[in-house]
Amino acid sequence: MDNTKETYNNIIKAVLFFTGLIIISTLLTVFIYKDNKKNIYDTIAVNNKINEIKNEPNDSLQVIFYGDSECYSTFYPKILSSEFNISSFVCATAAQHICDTYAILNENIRTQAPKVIVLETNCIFRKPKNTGTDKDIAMNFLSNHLSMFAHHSDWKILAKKALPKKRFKHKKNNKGFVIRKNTIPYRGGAYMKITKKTKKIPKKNLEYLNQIKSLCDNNNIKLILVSTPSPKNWSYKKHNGIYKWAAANSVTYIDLNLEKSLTINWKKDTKDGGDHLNFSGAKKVTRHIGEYLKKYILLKE
Amino acid sequence: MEYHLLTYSFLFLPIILILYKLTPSKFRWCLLLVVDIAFYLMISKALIVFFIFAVVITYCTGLMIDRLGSSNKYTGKMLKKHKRIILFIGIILNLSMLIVFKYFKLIGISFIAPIGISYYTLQTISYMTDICRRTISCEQNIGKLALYLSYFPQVIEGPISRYSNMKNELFAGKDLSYTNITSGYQRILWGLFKKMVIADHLAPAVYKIFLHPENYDGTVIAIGAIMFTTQLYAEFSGCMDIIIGSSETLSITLPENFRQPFFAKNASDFWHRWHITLGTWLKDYIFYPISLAKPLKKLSKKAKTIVGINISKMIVPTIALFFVWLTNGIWHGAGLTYLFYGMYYFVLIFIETICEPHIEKFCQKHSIYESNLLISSFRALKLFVIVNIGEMFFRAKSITSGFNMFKKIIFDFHLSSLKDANWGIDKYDMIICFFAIILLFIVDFIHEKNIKLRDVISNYKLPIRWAIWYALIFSIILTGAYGAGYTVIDMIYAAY
Amino acid sequence: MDELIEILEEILPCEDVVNCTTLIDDHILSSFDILSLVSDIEDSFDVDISPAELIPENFNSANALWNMICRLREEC
Repeated sequence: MDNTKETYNNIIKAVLFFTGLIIISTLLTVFIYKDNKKNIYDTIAVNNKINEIKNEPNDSLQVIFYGDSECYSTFYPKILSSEFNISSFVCATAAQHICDTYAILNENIRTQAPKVIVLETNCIFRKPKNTGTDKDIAMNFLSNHLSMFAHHSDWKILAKKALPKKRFKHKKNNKGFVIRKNTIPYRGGAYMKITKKTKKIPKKNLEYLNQIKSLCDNNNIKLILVSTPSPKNWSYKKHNGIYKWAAANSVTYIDLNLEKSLTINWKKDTKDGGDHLNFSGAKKVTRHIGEYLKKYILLKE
Repeated sequence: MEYHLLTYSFLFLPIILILYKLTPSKFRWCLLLVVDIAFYLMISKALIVFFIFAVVITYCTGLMIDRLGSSNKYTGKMLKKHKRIILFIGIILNLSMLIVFKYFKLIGISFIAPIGISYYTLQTISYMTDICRRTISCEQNIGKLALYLSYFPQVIEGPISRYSNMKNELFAGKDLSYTNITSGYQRILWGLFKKMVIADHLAPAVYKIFLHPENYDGTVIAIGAIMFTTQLYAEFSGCMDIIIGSSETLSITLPENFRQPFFAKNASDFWHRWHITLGTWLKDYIFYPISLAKPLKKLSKKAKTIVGINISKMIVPTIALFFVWLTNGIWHGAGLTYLFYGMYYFVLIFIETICEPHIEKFCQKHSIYESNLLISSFRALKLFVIVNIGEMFFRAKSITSGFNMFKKIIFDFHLSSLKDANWGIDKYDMIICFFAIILLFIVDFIHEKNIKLRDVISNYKLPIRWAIWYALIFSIILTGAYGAGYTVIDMIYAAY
Repeated sequence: MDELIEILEEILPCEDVVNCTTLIDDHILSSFDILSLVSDIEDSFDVDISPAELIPENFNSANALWNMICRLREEC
């Protein structure tokens, strides 16, 4: 008799405990995580970039770059302004998902009227929004269904608002570019083997890409897709995938991996064995793309 | 599926618990075996063949040694000799698999190793040796032996258990109990906290600094080394909490692997508190057998007549100690850094055993007591430095890199460089991490005072009790290093 | 038995070796101590101690040690 009573007690306790857990989660979701737009992957990074652009004078930028780490280690706005007289900003974030590209772009055009948007293509193949990891089914489930999990670090944004603001220190403003001076050579040899195979753009990413395209069209912005040189990330299959979309939508596509006039020295110009470019590689690519942008902007004016 | 994934604790384990409850007590060990095999297949797939090999070899060796003892074919010394030959063959067979998978890298051939091979191989050796030593009787049922070697919570990274300690609970199929389940899950939560809030936050900074130490000055490297030690401790002991906690939910006790290592008196005491099961394994199957071996005894006796008892007394243990630390080093892997790590502790512990008695005498003479705050804090600081240097070499890319880092810490130390150091961790995460480490310190301090924290909490009134666990759960959810902006960090010790 | 106590006292001068029953469990005897204890016992009682005997049950108290010595003597 005592035993069953205890069992009942325990069951009731367990149920109550989990009810409490659910109540607290709901409260948290209602009060803290309610305004999360569901289609942002990394809220903190997106927020940072949106604020950075807000700090730039209105309508001052002619070109804005989007993409992942490939992008912010490649395009150096200082060279573009000093040598080509183009004002630009890099809105790339680490491992950017294309949904975040769209979210940042959407905010940016409120205060800026860029002539050209450059989208680095590596992020187009990053798997669609999935805040957990592929390995962890439970974590995936929770992240995809509860904003408390997916946006768990958003308390940092609240904390930032709540804390007294420090006077804005004038740090070296590289306009979103990250200088990386290490060198680890890439020794893999040629990597763009010609093939007819195509790597398909993931379905969800394609939707966002089309949305970005129409956003640009509506605001009279030219969209340019650029693949930066990277033996680790790029292949001919991916090239074909992007090329097909670009051709179908009459978007300019520049694959720098195939550009012969660009002389990347893989012994000196990469930071990490062919994944990212380092500073010397970035300078080369920036000058190359600068020529192109200059011509285009002059033409438009 | 690794233990720090939520899938393990909150999907896999509950399913096992339900199945375990539904299975009649007599067949529960069979259920565990099936689960083990499924678990192993999930991770290592076809490589399970090698594990099965190991089980069969171990089973046969055990059986043969046992048969030899009960038959009257040999007696006395001959029996011992024959038993030892069989044991030797069994050990060599099991060890050769480990060597192929772990050390063939040295000659340029590398394979993906079956999961947990470093751990279960040690268990097979202890099992076979214990039968030979007659401290256990051999297991007649090969399934039960396989269960002991593959028990799913411990198969990836230990603790390295002994058959004699495991056999009762593992095969008994004891009923689940509410207290064990809750207290097991409490421990799992604490482990997840250590792993997700402390270790995984530190991981990116550690990775960065150790990848290119040449880019940083001594101050940053020193902090990087401390960060790695903290990461390793939080991660390894955290995973142990998850492992031991999940076994506790099944009412099966696993041996402890950590006992507040940073409260140790000295380096040798540290190793009685850090990766304990590896230490005791080495003691029982390397240290004692070597120091009690006949040739060494003879050597010691000879030495006694030449150099006197005080020095001769040291010779045998020192030789045995050397092999213990050599094994400890190379067990971690084929790299020279690991060898250095082992030798580093060998030298330190050797110095300690020589100096400590003299220091003790000195202290007694001048009536300085262990409880003296100055002395004990100096001792703790000394140990902290020793451990951090050791782990720095352990983690370094190469020995040269390790020495360069060490040089930089000594000759290139500028506190000012901290100002613009880029750790790759944002300031909020740093603050969180800092407080989490303090919490870890407090919890360890309480455990060091021999207070069982979970028992204390369970005696609190329900609202307080629950508030504590809710706080722990939500601090993991909100401040854990997972999801956007973070990468999942694999378990460090699963790689050894 | 007295001889054994003497050996123990020599190794552990500050402990109550006669009554203590947790020499191993409380980490009073270190592994180095155990080794010198073993070699002393082997010399004074003329027995062979194999690694198999090095288990806590045999070393936790003076009594346990004495039992082990007696057993080993019989086996000889």
